[in-house]
Amino acid sequence: MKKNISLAILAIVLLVLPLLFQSRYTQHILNMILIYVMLGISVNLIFGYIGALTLGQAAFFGIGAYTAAIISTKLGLSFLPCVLCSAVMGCLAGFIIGIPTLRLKGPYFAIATIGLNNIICIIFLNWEHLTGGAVGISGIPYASILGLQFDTERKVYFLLLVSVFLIFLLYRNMISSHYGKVMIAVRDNELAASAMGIDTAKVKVIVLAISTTIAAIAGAYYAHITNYVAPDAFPVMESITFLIIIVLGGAGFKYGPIYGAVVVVILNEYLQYFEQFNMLIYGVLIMILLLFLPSGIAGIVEIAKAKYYEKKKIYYLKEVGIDEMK
Amino acid sequence: MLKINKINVFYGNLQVLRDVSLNINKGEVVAMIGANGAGKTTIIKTISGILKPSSGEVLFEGEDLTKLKIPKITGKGIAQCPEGRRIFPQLTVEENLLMGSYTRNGDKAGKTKDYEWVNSLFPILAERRKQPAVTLSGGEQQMLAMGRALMAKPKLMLLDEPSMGLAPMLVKSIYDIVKTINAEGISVFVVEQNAFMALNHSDRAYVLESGKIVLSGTGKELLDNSEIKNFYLGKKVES
Amino acid sequence: MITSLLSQQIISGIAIGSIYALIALSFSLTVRALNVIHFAQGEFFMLGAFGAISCYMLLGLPFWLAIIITTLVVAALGIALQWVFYNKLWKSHHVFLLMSTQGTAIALANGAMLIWGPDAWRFPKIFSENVYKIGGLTIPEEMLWISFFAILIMIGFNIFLYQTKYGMGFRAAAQDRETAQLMGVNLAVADSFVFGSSAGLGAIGGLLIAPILFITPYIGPIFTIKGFTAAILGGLGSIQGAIFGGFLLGIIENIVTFWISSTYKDAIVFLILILVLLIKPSGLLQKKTIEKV
Repeated sequence: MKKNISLAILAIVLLVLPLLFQSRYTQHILNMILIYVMLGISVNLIFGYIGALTLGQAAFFGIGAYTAAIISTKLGLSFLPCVLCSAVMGCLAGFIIGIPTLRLKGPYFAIATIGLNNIICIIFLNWEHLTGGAVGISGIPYASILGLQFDTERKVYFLLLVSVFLIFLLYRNMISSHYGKVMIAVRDNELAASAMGIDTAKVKVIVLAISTTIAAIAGAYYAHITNYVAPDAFPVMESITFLIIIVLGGAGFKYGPIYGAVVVVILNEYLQYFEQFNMLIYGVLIMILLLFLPSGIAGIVEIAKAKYYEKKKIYYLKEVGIDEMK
Repeated sequence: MLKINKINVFYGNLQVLRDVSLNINKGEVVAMIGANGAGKTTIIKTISGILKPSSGEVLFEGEDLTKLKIPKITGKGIAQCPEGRRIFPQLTVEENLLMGSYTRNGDKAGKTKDYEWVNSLFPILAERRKQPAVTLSGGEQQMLAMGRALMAKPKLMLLDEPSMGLAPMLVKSIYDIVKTINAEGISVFVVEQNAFMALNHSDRAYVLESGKIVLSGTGKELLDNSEIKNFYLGKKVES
Repeated sequence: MITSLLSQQIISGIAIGSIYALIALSFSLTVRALNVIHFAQGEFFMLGAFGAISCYMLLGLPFWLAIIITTLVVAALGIALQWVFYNKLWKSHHVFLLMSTQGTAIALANGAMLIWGPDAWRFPKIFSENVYKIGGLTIPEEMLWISFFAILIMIGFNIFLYQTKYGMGFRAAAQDRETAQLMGVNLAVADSFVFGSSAGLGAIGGLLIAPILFITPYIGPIFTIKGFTAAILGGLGSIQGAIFGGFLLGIIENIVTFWISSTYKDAIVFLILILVLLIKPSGLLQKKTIEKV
């Protein structure tokens, strides 16, 4: 009951939020947060729940964006078919890349994904008649569904809100299902998991494919919102940003991507004022986070919750990952 | 020479050693037997400084070792043959031996003398001088570990499970070497699951159970003790 | 004709290959000793180049002094980073470790940008610009000098590691830390040696190649990945493998540029990296797979 009330309040806040902020700029930031929540979810699945460190997620984001851009400008398909095509491409790419590379252990997988991200960027840059080379593709139409044009930031916000909500539901159900436990088993002890009869390779590849599908969908939205894609939007650095979202928000925590996206996008905007110091602060921030806050904001929230319930003498079932903090 | 006074050692919250006291006199071979998990290796690690006791003291020639860093303790003349030999697999046999004398600065003549002595104790090591140690057999690796410890010119040698995984013939020759080493005036503290061998070759021995010393005496006494016979030596020896 | 073209490419590849070998060596050092893949290796390389620029161009010091000062400063930086961050992190999950080195890389690149600005620097020619022509092959003298110094450094480093007592101690520590400590090896010194020499070797690579490259604060990542590819080619964690892999990569890259495409040169390097990781992760030289990964 109490939970329902708080959810209702949250829903109202989310719906009213864009009306509170009149400036186009603030609304743009809200939209970016939502896109980054999608990407955060995508990275959290593969990194947070499977433990495979990916430094190439921007490549799938880019594949989704370019697929949507090419299909909408060259074939003139409308928004939803574009998203579908991007999702299919992202999923395929996830399978094709995941099947061989996920055999690699630990840091080796991370390095393979860096190589991959670079290869994809080089292809975007050089396959000129398809991708437009360094100039990229412009003139991508606004998203439209059943004749409804999403041509203002505020309209886009509601489109994104609904989409993120759907993706979040899917993601939440996935990680709280039996399959979610399987994923965590694979992450925490692959050997033990396979001894229990789990096909760990299959689990990893499927989760990667789901994760890359979500990243590609985010890419399709990105293309339709900015109306423009260029290769410099998807470098390894962008993949690292996605990862920061998760580490900051809390890897392997359900709400990690949300906390992370909010903080990173807002932080990014504030850091713009420091222009040159921007990335320096970023780098130092990662280090400090890793040293002092390895389970991110979600970890702190969980600890706070645990303490609160402890005070009320209610047995509190610890959530996944909390035991790592002690 | 070495006197351990009521040490308590923990792994995290788990107490492994409880009020353990023992002493090793100069020129003695002292054994400690006990089942797997009794805490034998923990004692060795506490002497060499890898583990620090929460209370109690480890006195070597009157000096408390618990306050010293590991390399310092080695420098005092305590050399260790760790459990599982722990030779350096990618270094050559010769380099492994030289690692033993790492703390001995200067004294080049002494080192050369010891090197030759070790090679005469274990002629096989001289033959395999240039081979990476990983290519040695189990018995040869044990010899290398002992040779490496001797290169430190120790006053006290700690042997952790020297017979582990070795064929009975080899075990015997390892203990013959222990005798030879002891004859050179080096005290030996050997920790073993192979109670029969250890008791037979030691002047005195202790029995460790669940982190406590439950029995001590000369090697002969313990060999004749009926409980020891039942628990550690099995019926084969009895008959 | 073909053979002479090929040998030309091989010779050109050796110079850049010797630089890759230095970076690959840096990678292998931290991997074999501490199982740390240090992603800021390219940034140490970049700092080496900028160090040379600062000492030689801005302060007017002689080149040999610039080399010594830069190497020492970058090595000290490597050690400082080790003490501040990695000493606390390297027992944690490898993901954290990898990310922390990545964080270091970002911070270093942008710190360098604050000092030297975002624009490209052109280092003056210090080596002679003579070009030797031997039987249809053209060999620029500066290439010879670069390879010569790089190889000299590597030989010196190998002598230290394999012929001296301390080198032996450090190698022992890389194989079994606890036992090495029992033998009297000071692990804190050994670790600092690893991090310091790893950063220092990268810096030497950077300052040697400074005269033939445009230097910007952002050249790090590409050299990180190429050095790493070279290390993987020869077998990550192996000293000789790293050197072999560096030269091999330099030669492959030149041949690819010449005969296939310069646009896709880097893409092919990345492809090689992924393929070697997938097919022969222990490198081309090793017979056994490294279980430690």
